[in-house]
Amino acid sequence: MIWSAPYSVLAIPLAAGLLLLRVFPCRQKTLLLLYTIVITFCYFLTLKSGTSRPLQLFTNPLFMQHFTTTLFENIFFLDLFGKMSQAKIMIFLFCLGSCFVLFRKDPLYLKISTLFLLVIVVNLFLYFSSKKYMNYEHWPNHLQISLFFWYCFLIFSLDRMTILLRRNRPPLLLLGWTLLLGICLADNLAHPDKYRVPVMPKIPEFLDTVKKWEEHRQELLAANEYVIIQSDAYWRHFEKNFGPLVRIGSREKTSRPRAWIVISSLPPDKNGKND
Amino acid sequence: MRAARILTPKNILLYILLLATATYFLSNFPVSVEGIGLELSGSTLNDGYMIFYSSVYVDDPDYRIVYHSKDPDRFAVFLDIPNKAKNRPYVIRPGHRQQEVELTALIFCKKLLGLPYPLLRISGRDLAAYIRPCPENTRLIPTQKGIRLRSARGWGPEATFDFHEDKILASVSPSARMGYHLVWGLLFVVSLLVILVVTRIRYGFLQEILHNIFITPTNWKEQRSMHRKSLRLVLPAILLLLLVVVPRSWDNFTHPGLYVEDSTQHFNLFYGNTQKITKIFERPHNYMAVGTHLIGWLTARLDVRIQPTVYLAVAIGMSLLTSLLFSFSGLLRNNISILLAPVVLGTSGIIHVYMWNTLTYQIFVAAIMLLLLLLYPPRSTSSP
Repeated sequence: MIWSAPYSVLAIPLAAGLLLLRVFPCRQKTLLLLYTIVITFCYFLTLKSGTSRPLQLFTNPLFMQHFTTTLFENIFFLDLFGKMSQAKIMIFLFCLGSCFVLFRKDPLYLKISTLFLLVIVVNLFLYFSSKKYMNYEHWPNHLQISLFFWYCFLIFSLDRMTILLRRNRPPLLLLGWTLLLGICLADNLAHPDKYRVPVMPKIPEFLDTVKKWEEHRQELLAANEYVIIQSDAYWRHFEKNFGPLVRIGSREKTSRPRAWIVISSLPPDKNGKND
Repeated sequence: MRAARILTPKNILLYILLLATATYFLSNFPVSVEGIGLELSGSTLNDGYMIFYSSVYVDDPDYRIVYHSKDPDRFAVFLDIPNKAKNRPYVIRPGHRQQEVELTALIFCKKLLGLPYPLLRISGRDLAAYIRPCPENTRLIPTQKGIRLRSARGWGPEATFDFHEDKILASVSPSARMGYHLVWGLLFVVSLLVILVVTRIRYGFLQEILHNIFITPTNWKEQRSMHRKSLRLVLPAILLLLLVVVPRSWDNFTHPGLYVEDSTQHFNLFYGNTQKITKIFERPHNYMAVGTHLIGWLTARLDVRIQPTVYLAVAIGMSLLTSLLFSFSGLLRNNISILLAPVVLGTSGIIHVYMWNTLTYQIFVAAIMLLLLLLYPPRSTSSP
């Protein structure tokens, strides 16, 4: 898993945090966490150098500003409570501080919540350190891990609240969950791409065409020819260099094209090429 | 009596520390304007990307000033002309593509955190004396209430931009800036003190919180016992989550596609089973993604017609598992939380349907899965 994702480097601060905060003071877990740190560090070394500029967050005002607004508006306010303002930040910090004060006698809550907040902030830091920062501004990918752990924090806080108020346990929990599910519903209604993107209707036809031409592979090889079959990159969006594209037949430099087939939901003249 | 308690040497030390922190924060966060700033928000420049080049040092990033703003209401963007670039001839030309935009500019936001910032307003005539446009490409004309920048045809389409003098600002002196930060720092400390006095909260709780975070060991055996107890709810939690996410994304779950880089980085790359296994260790985006590439490589061995379905199945499986992991870590104590947490995490915690239906986005899901697994309690009870 470590070698599967660039954001797995977050395992280093999390594992180090789990060790330093003594969340699992037992040998087995300590060794596992140390092992995770070492392996993740090895993965970190394989990242191509020059792809990040960690200091830009501290030296470039735009980054600092964007970091703050993203952290508050997109993560803490869940993109549901409008733009950041001083009053909102104060209310938020008061609520967050209150959680820590209320749970001051609960070491597990304090430690895990601190680590959640650490992951949230470090994940954004990684994103803002990336040179590709501008390229991904339109995509919410960079928020994924932060937002997930922010929801984990909310759920964890709500669940632990029942330890504090044992007498009023079921109604409080139900009320809290109703609120959280309401937020979840509002979030889904406000962000339809969380559950739906336009389907790619031409994919089955594209795959059937590929399968059909695969049956002629030997014939194409014998004739030193090839066929290129291409389809939409997205729904009603054709791009020559993006989207599914296969070449069937000869791969020799001397080979000749027999056909270039474009299976698109757009009219042929907008596809660049069509056979 | 209370005042005496508040003004103990230890507390005074705390106030000084708070003041220093607040001053540092304020002096570093709202960034100072060095030289002259042009407020670009609300101007016609917001219609697109605009790059201001020093014609002398076009390739030197220190002298290249780039402007970018998508949301003028949110970002009060300034084009800040640094002192070192003073009197350099400037040209204006529109940017071509987003990829060209690099954030080497000194861009300033006066509305950061809602704080006003001390700036001087200067006239268009002063600005005209400050920057010198390149005569072949750009003209800077002082007007009665500001300046007019006109770019000539050549490097881009001809364009004229007017700036009212309200939008031309300069930095105040460093001492005035320091005074400003001190005032805000003091205000911050005083507000904190007022809150502490009014609410009669003493800060012994701070010590308790810090002690419990850093010193007190966790009773993780209780977490392990909760983890074991919670496992009986695995099946109902899966069913509940599926009941919510499947109808919600029915179209996308029943129409496998080759979205985003699933086409170029997985399907196209591995199609025809022609790639060696070492291909999965390549770094097309500067990082390794061994897991998704391995799945792509293995899937290429199957019938081409089911390959997108395999991608979809892997994505659904990974996202489903990730949504469930937190519930069964032993950190949640109530059954209702254990059952509902995956619903919230799977529908809102997962930020895009691409996490549910593409192989490419499993790099994010795998990272979350890894982090959640680290939170799981150990099996053995041995001490370190």
